[in-house]
Amino acid sequence: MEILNELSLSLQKGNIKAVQELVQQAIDGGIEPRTILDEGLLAGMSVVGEKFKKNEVYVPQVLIAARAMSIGAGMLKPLLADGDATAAGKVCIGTVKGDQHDIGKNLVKMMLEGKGLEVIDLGVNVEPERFVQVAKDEGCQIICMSALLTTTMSVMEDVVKAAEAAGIRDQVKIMVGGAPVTNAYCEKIGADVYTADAASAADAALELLANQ
Amino acid sequence: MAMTQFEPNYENLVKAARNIEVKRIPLYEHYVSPKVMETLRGTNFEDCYHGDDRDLDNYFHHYCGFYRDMGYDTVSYEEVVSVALPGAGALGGHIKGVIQNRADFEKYPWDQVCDTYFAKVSRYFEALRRQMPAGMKAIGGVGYGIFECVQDLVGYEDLCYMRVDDPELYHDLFFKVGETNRAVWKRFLQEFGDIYCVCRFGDDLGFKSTTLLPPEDIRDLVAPQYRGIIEEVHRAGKPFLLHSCGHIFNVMEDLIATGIDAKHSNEDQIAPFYEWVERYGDRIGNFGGIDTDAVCRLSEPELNEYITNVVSRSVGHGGFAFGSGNSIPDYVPIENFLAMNRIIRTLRGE
Repeated sequence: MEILNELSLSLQKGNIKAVQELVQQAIDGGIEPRTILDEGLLAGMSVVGEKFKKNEVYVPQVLIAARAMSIGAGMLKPLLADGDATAAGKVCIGTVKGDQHDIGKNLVKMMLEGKGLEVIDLGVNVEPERFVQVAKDEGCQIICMSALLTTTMSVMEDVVKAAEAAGIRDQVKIMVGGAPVTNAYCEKIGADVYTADAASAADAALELLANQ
Repeated sequence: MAMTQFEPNYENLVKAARNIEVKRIPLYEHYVSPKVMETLRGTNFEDCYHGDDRDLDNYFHHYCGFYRDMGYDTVSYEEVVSVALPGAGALGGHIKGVIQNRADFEKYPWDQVCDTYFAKVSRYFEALRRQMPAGMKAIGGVGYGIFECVQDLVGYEDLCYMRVDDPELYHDLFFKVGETNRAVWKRFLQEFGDIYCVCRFGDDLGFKSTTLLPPEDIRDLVAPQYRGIIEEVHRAGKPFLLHSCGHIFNVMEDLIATGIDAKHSNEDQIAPFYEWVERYGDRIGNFGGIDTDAVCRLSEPELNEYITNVVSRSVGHGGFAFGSGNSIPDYVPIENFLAMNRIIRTLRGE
């Protein structure tokens, strides 16, 4: 539908006013809220994610697109039926204990939300046990964690061990990322997935959920 | 601490910065944690930084002595301009930026920054001058680059929103910070230029996969400010070193065009040091070498192999100075730092 294409394009530009108007027009035109979300907002974020992976757009453009999506999704939320409002999956995310650097984590969060996932943001400097407790209490299928520093990176292994100790390791996938993190390190500590950038992280999360 | 017959000669680092290869490869670190220095000096002196002039002399005696005794030709030292920016701290401080709109920008005390800076930090530079060892000079100066200052005042994410919400303010911020910092640099060079042989600031423009701002913003808003400061540095007869972390290949030509003489910082996940040397060594000096992660993790034999490989691939491509790709924070194991230092000094013929 033309209006959903327009909505997707406006979101990609981060044009909040246009996104608000188009979402309202789509609602007034009788388009199902779930369709507006999937084919307008999430479709737009998906394009932004792909362009980000290819360095065709940069962090500022991702941030403004995510902001527009959040506002558009907020308009749809009360209209979505219970079943339609269910997210494609639930993720808890944070930077590991000792690490305050959250730009990358915030980007991953936005990209995950852009894929229709529910994200519980634990913030920065998160204790290993807290990742695990929240995943357990909230029924998260994925724990996402990032670290910027070589030293704090080692805490990621503690999170994996804490998930094992809590008996939830087989119920939760663990994703890692951040400047010093590599695929080899991910394998070494027994995490499930490493990705080099935020958009790839969101794709990988969807793939993990599809395979669960 | 190992003592050698090493005699520092700051001219070596000047040559490397001017892209002239030096036989006794100069060592360079952007920053070494005072905790590391204290351990190697066998005494606590960090708190002296907050004391009176006598304490400061003690601080810089050990601070400079660390670099001399570890085989450096220069002392890396800067005082960040943010100490004179009221309300700054949004860069990494998890506080809201002090400038969020035009009114904040207009009322900001830009015209007081220069005087405030020197009122706060001149005593440190004076103490540095008093304690500078024979044969050595400092590298550094007014810390924080343009992008980092802007982020410190606005916050990165809010700056990204400002880019679309108020593009005029976004533009004006970079130019105002550039104008302000240039004035600080100009006075710095007049008052303390004699103790500095290479000037530098750090301005992390990138992260793991690309730049933090679109390249056109760096070209149009950041680079012109660099050019103004570098003009002042060159007018004072000194080379300029830019420290910038991240994947910044897409703006390197723009940065080189600003007149930088050398560039520092490398991470292996982006590109090993020798790749920077191979790509840009025909035009600028390259500082760096060993990924800080490697310094932390590798055994001495592994470090030896790593360093020997990087050095052998870096010679013959112009001037370079060697050390970690970033810095020596306090989490770097002391024995690894010492091994790195020993290996490089052996390689350069000591």
